[in-house]
Amino acid sequence: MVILANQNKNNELVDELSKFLFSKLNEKNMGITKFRTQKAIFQIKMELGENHPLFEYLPYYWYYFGPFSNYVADSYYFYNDLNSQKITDLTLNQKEEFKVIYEYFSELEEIVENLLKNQNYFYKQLHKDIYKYYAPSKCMYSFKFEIFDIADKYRLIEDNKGDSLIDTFFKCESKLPFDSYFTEFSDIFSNFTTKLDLINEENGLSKHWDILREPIKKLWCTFAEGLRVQFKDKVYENMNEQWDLEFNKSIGILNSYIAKAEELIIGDYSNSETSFNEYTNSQKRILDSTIGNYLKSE
Amino acid sequence: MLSINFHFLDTNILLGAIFPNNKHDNYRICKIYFEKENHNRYISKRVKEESFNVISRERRITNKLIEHVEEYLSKNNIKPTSVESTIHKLKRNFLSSYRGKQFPENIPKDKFENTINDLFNEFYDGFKNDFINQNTNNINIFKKDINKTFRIYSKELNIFIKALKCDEYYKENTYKLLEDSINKTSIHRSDKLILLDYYMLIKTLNQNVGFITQDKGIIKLKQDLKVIFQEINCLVYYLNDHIT
Repeated sequence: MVILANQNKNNELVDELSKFLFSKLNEKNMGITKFRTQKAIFQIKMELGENHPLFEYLPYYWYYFGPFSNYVADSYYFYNDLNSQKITDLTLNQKEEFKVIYEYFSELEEIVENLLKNQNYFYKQLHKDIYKYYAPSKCMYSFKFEIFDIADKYRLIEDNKGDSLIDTFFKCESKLPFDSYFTEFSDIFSNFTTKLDLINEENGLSKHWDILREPIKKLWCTFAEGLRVQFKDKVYENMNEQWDLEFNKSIGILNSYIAKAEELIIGDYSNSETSFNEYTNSQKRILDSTIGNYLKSE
Repeated sequence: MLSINFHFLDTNILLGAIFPNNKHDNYRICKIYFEKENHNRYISKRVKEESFNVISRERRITNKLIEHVEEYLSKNNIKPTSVESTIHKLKRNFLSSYRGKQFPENIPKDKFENTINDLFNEFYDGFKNDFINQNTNNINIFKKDINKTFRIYSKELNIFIKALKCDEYYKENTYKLLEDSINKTSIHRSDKLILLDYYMLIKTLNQNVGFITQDKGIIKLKQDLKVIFQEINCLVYYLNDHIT
């Protein structure tokens, strides 16, 4: 009964908050997509803060495109369907409509006014700042915007961009979660980075970009499925088992994506000869400290 | 070992063979083995992947360690008198991120801790200078060095593997009873499947095949493995005993 009551309150609150937000947007002749509604409500939640009474009734989990709420998604469609015209037709009516949020009106007014005052920021930067300030793992900003988005948006990659993309993979690798839940994924990420580095060294990434895009995108999507399991509000706990199963299944699929890509490229990154004299003394010591310990204990 | 014509190689043999400067002799012994001995040498795709996994994991750990220090430096001003204690504290904090884990980053805990200790020793002077000067000059050099080091090593491995016969031998869940028997031993999961690759190679070739390793853990279980793989002639060799 407590869960049902909470869910009803979640629905009510999100509906009212969405309506409040949409009406403010309408006042400013600003439109909003379902993606941006998710981010805007999340930002409002964060501005209210953990100790605020409304905080726990705005439940989210982290997923492919950032923080996501099923309640916000439903609310968006509800208001989208409700009007045959755009949602910007909604106007602020009597305050009695807002039963749950009425007592917080003034602070919500201030938060939403602040959120919408710079339109350029609202439409172009807010979703990125959400990752910067609130993402539960430090690797996520680079992973999403500097790796996934590159593979998702660009059919071609310039020859000279391969090095910087590889550096981004290394940077992202250095920030992967410590949590052992992600160890298997981290192994796949690191192994794939090694292979990409080899490919880039031999031929540059541009030559095989069409093959590499899919496994790179799949890498982020798989990670996001793990995020959903580990970083979610309490109300989604009942989804744990299913989401965990899906994450583990995705790990298997990811491995085959990468193996397939390797098969297609395999001849191209193993042709050069190198000599054993290329290591500096400090590099040899790095190997001693790492691989050397692995071999020593064997 | 020397009279057996067919050899199946463990991961450590590949990694030892291309290791440039190994104070524990693995490199020298592996090098001699490959130069002087003329055998049919096989590896499985699992051995190949596990070799790359080892390299990739060690790079990741090293990169994470550097990031841990860099992040602290970027957020804190440290008094010169506190630099040394701060670096020691950072090492303890890094290790404590993995508290309670028997296989941090999929590496046995004792190996992992040795690696972290050795890396901090290696980078200590550079960290100290950066903390005193409040910049990341040395840290940036370390980052480039780390990635270049493992890049060279991966390239060496890639070229080396081309000279070996590599194939997929054992598909997981084919022989559940055998897998269950090996699961009861203390062998690490990836090694279990590699041993099953060895088993399938013997059945494929219908020849005696030597399993060549420098892993003392597997050598200790030689008798157990003979029992588990009783239908084949299971020949496990510790390379260091056969090469001087």
